[in-house]
Amino acid sequence: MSAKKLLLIDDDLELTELLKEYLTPQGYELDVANDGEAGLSLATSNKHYDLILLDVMLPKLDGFDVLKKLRTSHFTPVLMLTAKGDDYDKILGLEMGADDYLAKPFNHRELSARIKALVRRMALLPSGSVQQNLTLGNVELSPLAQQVFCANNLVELTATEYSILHLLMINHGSLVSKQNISEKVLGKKLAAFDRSIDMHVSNLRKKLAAFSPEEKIKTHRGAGYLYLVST
Amino acid sequence: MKGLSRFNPAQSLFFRVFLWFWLAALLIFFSSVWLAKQLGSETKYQPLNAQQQKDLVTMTNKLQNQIDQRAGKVVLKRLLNHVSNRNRFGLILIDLSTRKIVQSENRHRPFQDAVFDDFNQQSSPLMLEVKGITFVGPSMIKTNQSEYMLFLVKPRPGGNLGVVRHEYPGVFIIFMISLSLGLCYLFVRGLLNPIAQLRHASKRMATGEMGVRVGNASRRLDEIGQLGRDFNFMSEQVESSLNSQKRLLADISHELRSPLTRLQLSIGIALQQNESDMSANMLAALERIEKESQQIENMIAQVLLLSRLDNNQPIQNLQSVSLEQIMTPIIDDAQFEAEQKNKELFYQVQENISLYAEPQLLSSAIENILRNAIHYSNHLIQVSVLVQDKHIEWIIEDDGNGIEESQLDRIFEAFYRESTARDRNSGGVGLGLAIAQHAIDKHQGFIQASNKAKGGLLVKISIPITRH
Repeated sequence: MSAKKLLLIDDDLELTELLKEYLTPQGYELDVANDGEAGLSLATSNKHYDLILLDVMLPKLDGFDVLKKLRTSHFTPVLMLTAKGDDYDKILGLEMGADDYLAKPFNHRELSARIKALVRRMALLPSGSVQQNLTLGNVELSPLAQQVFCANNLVELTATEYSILHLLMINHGSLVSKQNISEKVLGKKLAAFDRSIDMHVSNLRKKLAAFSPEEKIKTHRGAGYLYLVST
Repeated sequence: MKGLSRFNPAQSLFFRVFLWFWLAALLIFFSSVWLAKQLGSETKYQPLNAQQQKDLVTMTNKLQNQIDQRAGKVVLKRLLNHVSNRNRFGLILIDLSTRKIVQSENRHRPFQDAVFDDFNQQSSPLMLEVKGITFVGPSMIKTNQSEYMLFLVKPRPGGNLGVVRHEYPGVFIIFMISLSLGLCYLFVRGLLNPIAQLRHASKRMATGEMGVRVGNASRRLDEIGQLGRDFNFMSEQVESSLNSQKRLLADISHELRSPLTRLQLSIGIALQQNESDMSANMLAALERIEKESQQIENMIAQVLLLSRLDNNQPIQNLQSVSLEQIMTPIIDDAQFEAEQKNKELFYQVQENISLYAEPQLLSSAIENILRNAIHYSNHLIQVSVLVQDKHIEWIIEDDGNGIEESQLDRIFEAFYRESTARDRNSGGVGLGLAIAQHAIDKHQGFIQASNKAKGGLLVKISIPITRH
């Protein structure tokens, strides 16, 4: 497998240097942009990135704007780097389609675990099911192309939404706990009262409902989610 | 008894000033009355002036005529009233033989009969003034039965205080006492109310309330007003220096995040080196550095959380959450922690109810208290949740040494550390309890620590159940 490509958008030059030094030995290739505009143009260029690490506080274009503009065309996984103590940032980030967030200062182990989870999510799913197309009712998921069709329309999902849907569809008819989703998809333990999984699922529901109104994902309050078996 | 003590002049400036002023006012009043009495009690005799002479003659003639016309068959009293009403004079007849007095009604002030004792038919007419009443007479009146001396009395002037003073001295004294009472009260109140305001304001400020200002007291132009303005100025200064201190703390924590992120990454890079190239000492040191930087990270997170809780804005993210949802993870973690330390934790709850709260904040408050209890207990920790009418209460008890009574309130202050026992190994910075208190405050609840009779600390957390 070729090296995973990461794009790092952060204005702290020393930090980007260190991140490069830290992540390269782990088998990642890093491109760095030091402001929002440069970051956005790299992210939307022809180069393929497996993950974008995006800081919130950026010159020229802040992290949220970069994310908003990026999401109009690209569904590259995005890990937001928020500032610790600003809970509002992480909620806003998730709403705007970030896949996950990490509060600065972060522990280096935590960082590499999250990156690993977001770029290698395919490996987290049961191996046998990976290659097969999954069809449940009018929803069709193609793991090879990482595409989802609902009533024959292409649904544009973020990588995390796609992974959650994939996980739920594989386990259709049975409850998948939020812990399970968090560990498999985001590579982290679910913290108490963490709403990030709920937000991803709610975004996912909205996107599916745009093409087909009937309920597909049922919530079990406090426990988890269940993909309904269509009759 | 407590209510009465505010009337004790030894304890209340209000009543001391009030009593002094009142006593002084009464003293002045009574001495002037006494003085007036001394001057006014002597009976004054003066020869009649022309007008008085004329009045006396006219009245005597009128009365004698009336008596003569009726050939003596008169009721003297009625006749006197009749003549008196027509002529604006009070009339007094004194029987020369019996010294009996007949007088017209209501036209003059009461007087003592003895006033007339010195007069007989030989007395020449005089003006005589007794206690402010002026009599003119005598002149002689004859009826069939008897001979009388006639005195005229000046009609009383209407509505004069002096009248009341002479006619009803009791009423007058009571009136004067209550008037002076009222005036003194108003005066002293005007003087001391602003002081009470100041006292109230400084008390509030002492309890840590921000933005305390004295209102009316600072608008006065006198010394008390100056004091009030100085107080307001002081309050502003204290507030702004406190705020800048807090802001400084938050700013520093903010700024520390970047270098700390870089530090943690550098540790990561160092640890990536081939471990065999590193001596055991080096590795241990790196791990130590990593642990300490984690500690710094926790502190920064706590300081930032505290400064976020310390503003006056209401909390966001209030939601309905079940008691069980909150307690289960906390108790699970705490059980684990207690077991690790060979301690026992008991948990009891009445019923599972639904709360309206910010679950993360509420959890962290309970967790911080519980952590503390586990840390300081000898062996037992007890957590009970009581659902009251409108409140839910957490009682968290340990069997440790408790806290010195005088320090009980202080343990919720930021960066408070018990001088002796605490060590940094407890993992905290002394912010856990402060965060707990702020978090509970945000839920309109309260948090209270007390020592148990049998030893150990008891912390009670209470928040209202209903939506607020």
